[in-house]
Formats: sequence, C-alpha cells, structure tokens
Amino acid sequence: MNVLICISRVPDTATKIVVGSDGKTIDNQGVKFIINPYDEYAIEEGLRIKEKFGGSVTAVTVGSEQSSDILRTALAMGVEKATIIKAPEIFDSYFVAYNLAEYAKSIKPDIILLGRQSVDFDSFQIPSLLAGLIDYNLVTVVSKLTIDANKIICERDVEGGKEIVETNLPCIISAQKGLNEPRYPKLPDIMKAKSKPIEILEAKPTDLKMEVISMEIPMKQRIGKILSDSDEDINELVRLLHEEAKVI
Amino acid sequence: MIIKTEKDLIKPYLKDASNYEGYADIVYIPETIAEIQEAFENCIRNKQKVTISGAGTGLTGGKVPEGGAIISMEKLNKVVDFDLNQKTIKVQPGITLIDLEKFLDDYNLFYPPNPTENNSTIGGNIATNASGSRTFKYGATRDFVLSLELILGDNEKVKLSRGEAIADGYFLKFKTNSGKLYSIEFNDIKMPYTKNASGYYLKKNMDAIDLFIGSEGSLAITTLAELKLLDKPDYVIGGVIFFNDIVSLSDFVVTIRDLSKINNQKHYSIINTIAARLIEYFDSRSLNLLKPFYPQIPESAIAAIWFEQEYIKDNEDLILNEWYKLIDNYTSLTQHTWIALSDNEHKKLAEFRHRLPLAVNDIISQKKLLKIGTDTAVPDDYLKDYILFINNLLTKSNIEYAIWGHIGNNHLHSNLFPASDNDMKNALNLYDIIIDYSLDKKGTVSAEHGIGKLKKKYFYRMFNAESIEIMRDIRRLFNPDNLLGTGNIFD
Repeated sequence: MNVLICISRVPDTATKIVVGSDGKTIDNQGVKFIINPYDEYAIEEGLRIKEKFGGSVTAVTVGSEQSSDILRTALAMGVEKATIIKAPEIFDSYFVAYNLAEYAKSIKPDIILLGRQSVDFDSFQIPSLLAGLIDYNLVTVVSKLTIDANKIICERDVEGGKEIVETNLPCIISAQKGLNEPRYPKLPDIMKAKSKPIEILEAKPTDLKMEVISMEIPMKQRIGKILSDSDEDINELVRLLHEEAKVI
Repeated sequence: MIIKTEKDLIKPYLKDASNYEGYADIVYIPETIAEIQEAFENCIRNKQKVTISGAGTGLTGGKVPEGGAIISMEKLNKVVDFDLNQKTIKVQPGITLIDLEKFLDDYNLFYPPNPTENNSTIGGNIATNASGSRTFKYGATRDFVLSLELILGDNEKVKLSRGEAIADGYFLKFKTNSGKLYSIEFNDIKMPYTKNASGYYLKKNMDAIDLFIGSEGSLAITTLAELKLLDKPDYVIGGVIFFNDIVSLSDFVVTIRDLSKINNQKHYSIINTIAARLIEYFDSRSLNLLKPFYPQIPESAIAAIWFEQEYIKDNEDLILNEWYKLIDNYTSLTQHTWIALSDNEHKKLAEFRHRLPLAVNDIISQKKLLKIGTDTAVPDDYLKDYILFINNLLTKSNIEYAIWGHIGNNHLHSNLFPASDNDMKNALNLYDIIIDYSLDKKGTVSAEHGIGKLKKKYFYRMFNAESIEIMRDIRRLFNPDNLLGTGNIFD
C-alpha cells in the first residue's frame, strides 16, 4: 500500500503571533514553526498502514524551502521520502491543493492522509479540493481508521455519537485528534533524518482564487467594568447597556 | 477582609497535600497589606497563634495550624510592579507559579526555579526555599529573590533588599522601618553540601534576606516579594533516555552532571556540547506506573533519565551529536531515546513527568494505600552510591514504592506506599535508614519540602543541640511569644 501524507508548516501553537507591517501576513520574526498538529496524526496513521501492509510512505508539503525542518521531523518519525513543492510568497488554498493533486497524479498513491485542517489559517479546504481535483473518495475528520482488504472503515465524531463511513481505495482521509497517538521521534532516527535527501520541486502556478485583504489579532480580553450596587451605579449600568453595548 | 469562623468554612484550611490535619478558630483573608497588618495585630492582642496559609500544596504540614488563627494569602495574588528592562517583578505572596508564568509568557521571560507543583504560591515557595527541576542549572527560590517586605513576628515592618544588609562574618544586623535594630551573633553551623530546605540559613557573611527565605513562616510574614527574571532561551532540547542497567545509569548521570556544571558557567548561546539545565530520574516502578499511558516505554527499560538543554539553532546538530555519542556509550536502549525539539513536543515530555504523581494518587486511592516520601539529598561525591543504595534497599522490601526526583542535584524522592499497619512500621524504618544514610554523607533530611511539622524528628538529628539553640534564639528575637508559625521546624 503506497501512502502519501500531505503536511503543512505552521507557527508553534505556543508562539505569540504578530501581524507583519503589510497588515496581511504573519511577522515571522522569532516565530518557531512546527508540523501542523493534525498532520502528525496523518503521519502516524500512514506509518502504521505501511507497517501492517507494506509499501511506502511519502510526505509532501507546499511551501518555502524552510519547510525542510518539518520534513526532517517526518523522516525521523519513519517516512521514507520527503518532497517540498516550492511555493511563491503569496499563495492560496487552491494553489496548494492543485500542486498536491499534480504530485499525487505523478506517484499514484493508494491512500492520501492529511490533517483535518491546518491550525494557522483553519480554512479546511485542502482535503475537499484535493479530492475534487484527483477524483479520489474522501472521508474527513476521521477519528478511527480500519482497513480490511479493499474496504476502508472510518469512524467520525458527530454530535452526541459516532458515524461509521465505509469507502474504498483509492481514497483521501483527513485526520482528527484521537486517530492515534503519534510516536516520539527517536534520537538515532533524528540524526539519520538530518542526512536524508529532500526533493525540491518547482510548483505549477495557478491564478489566485482568494486574497488576504487584511489580518488582525483578535481582541484578547473583553474590557470589563465593575459597578457597585448603589442606585447611582444601577442607573449607570442601564445607561451603559443602552448607549454603549446597545443591547437594551 | 473576609473572616471565617464557622467550622465548615474553616475546614478546607486545615490540611495540606500531606493530608496532615490541624485545627483553628478563625481564618482571616486579607485583601490588602493593611488588612494583613490588622489581622496580625488582632492575633497579637489576643495572644493567639497565627499560621500563614498559601496554596496548601506543601508536603510537611507547614501551613497546617496548631490552633489559633490562619491568615490566608489567597486574595493577595497580584502583580504589583513589573520592570521589563530590569527584568524584575514585584508580586504579592499569594500569586501562584502558573499565574506568574502566564503573565511572563507575554514578555518572553521566565522565573527559573520551576517547582513541579505550579499551583503553589510564591509566598509558600519563599517560606520553604522551594526548588524544582531547573534548580540544577539555576538554583532554588533563594537565588531569585531580590527583596522582601516583611512583617516580623514582633509586628515590626522591614524591607530587605539583597546586598544591603550583609553579615560581618557571623555577626548580622539590620534596622526595621521604625528604626529598631536587630543584631544576631551565630556560630559556624554545619550546613549540608547540598541544596537544602532544613532549618534557618546561617552562613558566614550571609545576606539578612536569606535568613527569612526558608524560615517556614516562623520569623516573619512576607507581604511583597521582588523576583529576578530571565529571558526565555531561544531553543530547548528535551530527551528521555532509557536504561536497562542501574550502574550504567548512575555513571551516565554523574558524567552529564559534571560536564553540565562546567559548561553551564558559559552562556548557552556559545555552548555546542553537553550542558543540561535539568536532569530527572524515573525508576522502574515509576515507569511501570506510566506504561499504561505510554506504551512506547521499552519493555526492557528499568529506569529513565529526562534532560533538557538550552541552545541556539545553529548549534542543534553539534549538541544532538554529543548527546547521541554519550548516550550510546552508556545504554543499549539508545534507539528508544525520545527527543523533543518543539514547544509542542516539550509539552508532551512535561506531561510524562506530571502524569507520575497522578498515577501514584490513582493507585493509592484504588488500593487504599498510604504514602510517605523522602526528600533527602547527598553531596556530589556520593550520587552513584546513593542511587544504588536506595534501589537496593527498596527492592528488598515488600512495600510498594516508586523513586523519582532531581537526580542532577543528588536529590531523590523515595515514595513508599504501605498497605497495612505493619507495612507502615517497615516503611518508617526504611525512611529512617535513608535519613541516616543521607546524614552520614553530610547531606540533608529535606532538600526542598521543608521541615514543617512532620519532619522535626529528622531535623533534630541533622543539627546538633548548640546549632538548634542558636536557631531557637533567632526565633525568640523576631517572634518573642512564638505566636507566628507555631510548631514549624522545631518546638
């Protein structure tokens, strides 16, 4: 079984995000980047599939050459081949999906695994776009995966219960937290991964279908006002609710 | 100020994490420094004992009252002043370590000592000179306290800033805000060659502020603390190394401890070899407790070491290589070594460490066991012997146990879980043997938890009568009626 895992490089979830001077991008100064946490489940699941059924596991990302750091982590976890599809500075989800699709067409994997979303922009678009472009079956947000011959059985968390979905190969699975417990990279594998080659391919350009107009940090705290129970303050509360909050 | 006098409302204040329970008549919960003053003056007027209460995470009954009043610092939990340029912060005693850490995160700063229990308060940390995993590189609470505002046991107020009141040899003096002069003459008291939380700090040419840090609430009430902060390091490597042989583990730890002590004298940005900031130990019983949650722990592992090191990105490959070579020299389980490089991966390793006391609590409540834990440390020369000694001693016993701790500081917690009265007798006997061993090696009976009310017996064995009398005189000087922190450290 040949597995392709699509991964994404995102700011570490503990990093403080600052908007760049152009007001449209993240300021990368001092930001640490990691593998998108949902993609780690995809990698782990891919490795388990290979360990069970044989075949190969390839990881690919669309981004800058700096993405080699996350591919090294994937190699350390046990992925055999790693590829960067080099993207220009500004690109959108469609660009990523299109280039992943072109790459997938070239290596014809049996199964494609990826995170349910990347935690930087949370657009949730790649799994669906990719499935549309290469015409694979798609099951999203999967929290348990069982492969039985050609039958793929997926469990999905739904409101108040579980939904069981069945499909067949070739297919795309997007991973939800809980799919598995990703393995820790081991020291010898980290060292070996440092010297493994990483393939770098040029991306095929696409027209932008989405453009970021502006970006801002959400307000961190609600600004609270504390009033006492005096008559004066009760009148003030009514005034504030009416004039400032405009809720009464 | 909230005042509680009903039994049901007082009850939660009567215990700490050791489960030792006391009694009291009244709880004061001041919201300002003036209210601490007011509560304390009430107690002095009524000749009532006063015990100061932090988060109650202590393990030796230090906050557990022996009657009288409790002053709880829970509402005094604010940051009072913060200087980003000087990297200092002034906090009230009731602020918890986790809240302090959250505050500092926004400024990319950290407070280094890092006691494992992050719900503990700074006031409690100062009372016990608390330490933690990063004490290996950075030192204990003492090393990060720049100034203290105190109400002494005789109701005098004083601000002590580090460097301002230094003893002339064994003669220490300082004045309070009102001009009252205190002078103390003491002898050369044999302090252990280890980190320590047993008894008052009394050393030649000492700073007056150090007398109050670690005095377990028996000399003064801390009303404000100024702390030193550091810039967070650029990057941190974390690793868990598994061993299948205890002698090799001991040799490995001594090697990395000594290398790190030398290399840590330089700033981490110029270090490209081994320089750990923490070295922690898990024995086979600890690993067994963790296995249900971490099936990746190798079957043949009988112990593990967790380390962390600060570095800059350019040196990552060199440093990893050095660790790889060294680890491979000491264990045949190198291929199982877990490495964390990103913050996310570090969180997983920290969870691994934090899971252990939780797993212990689970097993204790499931099997209805009790728990007693040692807190001894020995000088550097005895580390290997200490590790082998404790492992041998406990393996031979029939009591359930787990050993873990700050092995870089030659400091281990032997946690014994007796199941019966007879077990308990045996456990206390083992405890005594471990205490004797540590004292014989000129170590300490309590390296970080303090003496409180539960370890006085061992304190009396650690210091001679003359030293204890000096400490008693000091307590009489500041706390003449022995109303404050009654029952802590010594009677």
